Amino acid sequence: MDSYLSLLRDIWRSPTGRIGLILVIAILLFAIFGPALSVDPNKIAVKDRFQGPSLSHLLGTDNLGRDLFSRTAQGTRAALIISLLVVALSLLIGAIIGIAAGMAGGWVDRAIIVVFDIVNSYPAVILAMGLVALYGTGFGNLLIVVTVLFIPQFGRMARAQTLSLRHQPFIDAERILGLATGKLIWRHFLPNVLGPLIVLASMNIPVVITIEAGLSFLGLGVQPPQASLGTLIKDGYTFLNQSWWPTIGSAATLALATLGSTLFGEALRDAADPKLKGHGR
Amino acid sequence: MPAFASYIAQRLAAALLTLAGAIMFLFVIIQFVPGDMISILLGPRATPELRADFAQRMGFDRSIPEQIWLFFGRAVTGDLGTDVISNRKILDMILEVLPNTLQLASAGLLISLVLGIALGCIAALKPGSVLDTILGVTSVAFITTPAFVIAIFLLLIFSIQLHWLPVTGAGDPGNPLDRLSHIILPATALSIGWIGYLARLIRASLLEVMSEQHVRMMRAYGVPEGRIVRHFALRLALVPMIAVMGIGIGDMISNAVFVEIIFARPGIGTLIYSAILNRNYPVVQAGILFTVITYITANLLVDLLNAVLDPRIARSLKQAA
Amino acid sequence: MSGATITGLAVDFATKGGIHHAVRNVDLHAGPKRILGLVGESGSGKSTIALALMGLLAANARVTSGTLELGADRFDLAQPQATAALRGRRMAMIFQDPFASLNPVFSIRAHLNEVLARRSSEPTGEAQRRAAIDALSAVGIDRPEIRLTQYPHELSGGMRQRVAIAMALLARPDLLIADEPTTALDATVEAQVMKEICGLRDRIGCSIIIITHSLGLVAEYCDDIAVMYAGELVEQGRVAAVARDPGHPYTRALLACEVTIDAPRGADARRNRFRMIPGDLPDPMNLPSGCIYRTRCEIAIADCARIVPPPITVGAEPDHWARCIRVEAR
Repeated sequence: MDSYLSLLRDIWRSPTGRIGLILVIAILLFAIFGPALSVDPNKIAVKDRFQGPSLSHLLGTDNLGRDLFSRTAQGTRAALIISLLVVALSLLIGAIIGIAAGMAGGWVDRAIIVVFDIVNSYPAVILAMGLVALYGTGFGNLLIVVTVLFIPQFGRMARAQTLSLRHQPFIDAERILGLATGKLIWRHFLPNVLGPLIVLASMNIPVVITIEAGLSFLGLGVQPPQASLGTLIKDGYTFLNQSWWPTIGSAATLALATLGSTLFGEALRDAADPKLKGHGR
Repeated sequence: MPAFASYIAQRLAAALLTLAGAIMFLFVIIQFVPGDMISILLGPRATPELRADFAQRMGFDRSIPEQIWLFFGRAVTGDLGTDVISNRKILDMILEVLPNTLQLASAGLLISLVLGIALGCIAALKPGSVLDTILGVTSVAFITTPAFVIAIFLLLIFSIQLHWLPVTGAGDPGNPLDRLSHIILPATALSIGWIGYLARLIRASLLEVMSEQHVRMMRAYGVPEGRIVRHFALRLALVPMIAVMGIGIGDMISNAVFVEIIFARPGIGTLIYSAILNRNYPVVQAGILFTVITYITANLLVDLLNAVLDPRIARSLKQAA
Repeated sequence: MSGATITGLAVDFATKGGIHHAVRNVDLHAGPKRILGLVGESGSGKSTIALALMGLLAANARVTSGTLELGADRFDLAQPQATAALRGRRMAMIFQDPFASLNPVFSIRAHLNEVLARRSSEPTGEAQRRAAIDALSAVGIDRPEIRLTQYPHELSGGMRQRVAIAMALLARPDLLIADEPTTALDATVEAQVMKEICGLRDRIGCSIIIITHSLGLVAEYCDDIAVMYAGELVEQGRVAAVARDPGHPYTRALLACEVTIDAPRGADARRNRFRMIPGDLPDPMNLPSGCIYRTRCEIAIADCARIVPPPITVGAEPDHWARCIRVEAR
């Protein structure tokens, strides 16, 4: 627990990290408590369409008179849930595959690397679009598709860590002492591999948020009436000629979410980098 | 320079292998799509005759290895099929819009290179100045804001509000000036994220290079500071940039899809997108294939550029006493 | 070529803790066709002197006083850019780390051409090329035509240092400064590189200042020696004279600390006892009054705290002096 607190402290100390942390917390609060604080996001009141911000509608209303504050909060919630899920899943699956590749070596390892390379040879969004086109839209498919996109990254890093750990003398020592491979992985490899993977995960969260928003914008992600920041921006875009408000609230929230998580992720990476640690531990 | 030639050959072989793998992947994922293969590929509008003919041509009755062979064969010869809806050869459809996308991507790349490098240099030569701080802050904003958001805002401000630039389309093909006015906003939207990234990268790289001993050596021999920066330092500082350009181009291709859709520019992005909406899978497949080819080719070119710029890559280390 | 004389050089550094007087009142003389070894511990200010002469000091450093006489010309080193025009023409420098001296993305030829371009306009490419090849041969680099087209990573450390010497050869300076040129090289390569540096002296007749912390190197290759301590020059003279009869207590202590590898093992060595100079370098913000060395000196007296010792001639040699008021008591 101590080291986590000291990480947070380091992040707070750096100016950009501080901004990132504040933004992340603000977005989290918005996503968690926003929908509760506001009007029903799906309540249609066409006579109230395209209103600007007011006391009853903090971010205004959209083309169907729905309250934008609550819809944006919902969309933020969706974005966060999806990104956290995707990152967690791809981290886990990538870690398992990567460690397996590193431990197995030989043709298994090479085959896995080739698969990773092939997935990476597709520009991310294009592959996502193609997969969604073929397998259909919806929350579950979206999750699977985006997770697949990120598995190679985590897999590669896990594999690299495993490879470098594998030949360390202390691993040999443990083997000589008779430690089973399973326990070896659990007790020694996993903790060492998880650290950098978690940093990578935090740096990938904004990317996932962006991809999800992009796909939803294209109508290939989250489906209505579920709100996503992407669909909100898309609706706003369609009616750009008539009103700014639907676009601005969601676009700004998206930008702030990605900005905050990027700054936070970078600060986390710098704080966790042992080379930069001068604390004499 | 045999070492260089062998490096090119190596990279070319790797690119072709990757392409083969990507095509294979395309084949594989289609196999797992739920539902009737022929309906998926031809869409619901196909007549029974068309379906039978298609089934025979595609070889759905043959074994899997034969199907793979046919698939590759068609991909290589450019037979991407005929569009069911418009009855045109899909290859023609793609080749018609591909130049637009390539122009857009190239313009975006050019803008981001020029501005990104320039801003990075300015920041590096005056570190800690007001300009440097401003650039540092804005570059983060540029990098993190998604491209389609930037595109929408540019559209909003410059086209809709200010009416300075046209809203949609790619412009009249015969009129270069018109096409230019149509490409400015989308290319800018595409380039902004990359400008921020390059500026940061070049700044850090140039700062590091300027502190190295060989720069001091040049100064000790009286080489003017301007020449040191422009000729010697910059060339070395650009090397790390080439390494990331491959991924950057991939991002740019991805973002081009959004930008094309937002600005209603005809291109591969809009083609694939409308095909997806229409469940026109052959076009989707062909479009994706072309995107991948473009990406792999671009990466190959970047690798070669890297070898040209950095002599350490291609030449083997030859130690002499 | 009539040598380089530096008078009254003083350099200040602006640091967070205040002004650090890194170099104080240094007089150096490097005779024509002679190699001067400038020795001292790390932090004694040797490299600072070199950078001050070349005008390559960091932004927070300032030359507060000093003149350089190069041949018949005088330069006020306190003026910014005083020696800028001399770089590459009448002054040149070789740096410590050969692996970092050359730009990795430029060929050897590009480096040499840069020196030639600065020197005077060599009109045709062929004349430049020949000059470059001759310079590489002159410093003992084999197959110079091929080497020209190669890149730094294809050359070993010793070869890269030779390229640096070749650059100096092409510049034909009056004064060459070499900052620890062989510290990063192993012993056999060191001998080769030093041989080339001596060759440079003979070929162009320039004055050479070699900055080093190795007394062995100075004894082997240098003509004159100057000893730095904590920012001050405490002794200067011909190598033979100083080695035979050191005037300053610090020099004496340094010489006593030297352990010769191939000498028969003396009593001290057999007992694994090595001589050290007790104490530490003085705090740069809080320099002792009077003689800079008095806090570690074995023969310091009360007057040493009151008087800043002037250069006092040692023995019979005219150009051998030491800053010690107790030279007679040695």
